[in-house]
Amino acid sequence: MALKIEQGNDVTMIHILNDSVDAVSAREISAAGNQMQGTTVLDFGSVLFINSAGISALLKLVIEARKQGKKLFAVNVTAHHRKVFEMVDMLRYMPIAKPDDMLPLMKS
Amino acid sequence: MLDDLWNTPKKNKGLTDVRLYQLAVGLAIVTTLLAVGIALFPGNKTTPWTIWLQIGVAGLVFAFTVGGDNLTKQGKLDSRSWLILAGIICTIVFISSFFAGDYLNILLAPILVGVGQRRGDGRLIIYLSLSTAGLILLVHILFLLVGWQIPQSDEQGTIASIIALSGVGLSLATFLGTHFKLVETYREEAASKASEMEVAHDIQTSLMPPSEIVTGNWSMAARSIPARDVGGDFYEYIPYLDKGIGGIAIGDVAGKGIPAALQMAVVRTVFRIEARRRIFPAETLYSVNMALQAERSFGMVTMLYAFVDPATSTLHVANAGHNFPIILNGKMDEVRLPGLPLGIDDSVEYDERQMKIAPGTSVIFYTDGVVEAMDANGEMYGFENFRDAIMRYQNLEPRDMLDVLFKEISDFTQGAAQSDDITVLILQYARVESEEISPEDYGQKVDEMFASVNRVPHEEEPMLEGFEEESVNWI
Repeated sequence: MALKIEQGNDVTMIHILNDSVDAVSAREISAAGNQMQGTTVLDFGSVLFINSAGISALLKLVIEARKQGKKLFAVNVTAHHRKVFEMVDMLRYMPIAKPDDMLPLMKS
Repeated sequence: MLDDLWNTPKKNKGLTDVRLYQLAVGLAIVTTLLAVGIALFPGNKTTPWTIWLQIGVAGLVFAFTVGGDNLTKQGKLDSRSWLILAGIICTIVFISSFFAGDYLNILLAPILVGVGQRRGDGRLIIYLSLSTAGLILLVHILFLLVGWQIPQSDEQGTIASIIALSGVGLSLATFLGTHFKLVETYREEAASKASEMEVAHDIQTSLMPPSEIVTGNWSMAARSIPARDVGGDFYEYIPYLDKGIGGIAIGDVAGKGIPAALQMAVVRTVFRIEARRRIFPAETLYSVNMALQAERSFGMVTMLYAFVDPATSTLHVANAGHNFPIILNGKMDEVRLPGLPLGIDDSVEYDERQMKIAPGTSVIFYTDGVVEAMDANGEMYGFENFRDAIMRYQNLEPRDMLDVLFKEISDFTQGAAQSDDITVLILQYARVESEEISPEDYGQKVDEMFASVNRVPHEEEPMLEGFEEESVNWI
């Protein structure tokens, strides 16, 4: 399993455990979409590489989630992927947050 | 039947394989004849009924090993029936061994090899053999405990062993034969695919726009290296740069190889149609996205479309998730214009940015394969390295700059397998002052442009009619 999912107070934290997000792991992330709560945090801490199929799947996931009124945040994103997310306009749908800002949400 | 066996691998290919196979079959036949000869040799002792049981069971196994395989090949015995029959014969062998000698159990070997062969799994032969040996040992212990005396074999056991070995030889020969046949099939398929991919590569290369264009003060050079024979990166020109409107597009279809190449061909076709209908890049990208949304199962495409208005030296840019172009004019700037890639969502509208291009400026367009090129340790080339390289070589002509940039990337990756298509396109506005053109001259100039690239004349191009009206408004 490429994901570890934690549920908190109306918050879902999805840790991506793979070092790369490709079509296969992206499908797992998409499948985890139905476990999203009001706020979902995607943790990219272990991710070193995201290929185009991974970006495509992530975009579809975050857009669909936003259309359903859910809030998404990304944490632990590398500088390289921050730039990629900016190019594909992912940041509009899933801003990057500091992990420290997200942890209190889980505990409250 | 023997003919069938003999010719299992194709004779005209894999000569060594055929000889090995024929050797195995020949050995099996000779050992069988030898065994029967020993059993029936007139000088032999009077054969007790047990030796006839041994020979009968061995013959049954041998016939099943050879005949069962051929019946399966002819479609007269399905795999399930074969396995049931194998189970029955194994039981006969097993029970007979209690009366005719435990050496008879060796006759299980060719059947077990046959099961492994049918499943195409060599390891299964080992697993079954070990399991059977364990079972036989267990039965022996049980019988010893209850006092049953299993007859011990002497020379009759040798006969059964020889026949069993010949059966094993045949089964292995068939196994090898099937294996070699598969290998030959894979080789043929691989050769055929390689040939097809070569043709696909040639077709894709021939469909690419020219890699270098110099018109007046504007020059462009592009290079695209797919990760495989064909790729999903593309670039496109909408004629023409000098003395009129010139559109440049660069794109990257998600994925690699044939699927990406097929999708890329669709995107390019849709883009060409839409680009000729509209002037503004944002509108064009919107229309291309809508057209792609109508296609089922279409993947993601990042695409950047820019056109140059030479009358005002203005670059108009819209971006659908593609790498930000780099503007180089002594210093380096990025056109940070985010946008959703094509094929993701149908409700997206694209922003457009306009910027003046001063003489001596280069604009570098590139795909993600450049910055994500990796060395053998998985280290990425990255944005920083690419930007540093561009700054170092900023004074070169586009073609020369491409040469050194690709060399830099190649030096970085050190021969590691290319993980993604790599495309770079450089547009350069020379320092020489451009020729002024009045709006009235645009129609004639555009005709000349299309004629020079052998494209459809402007009467059939709605874009050009629209262009005349719009261009008047700009000035």
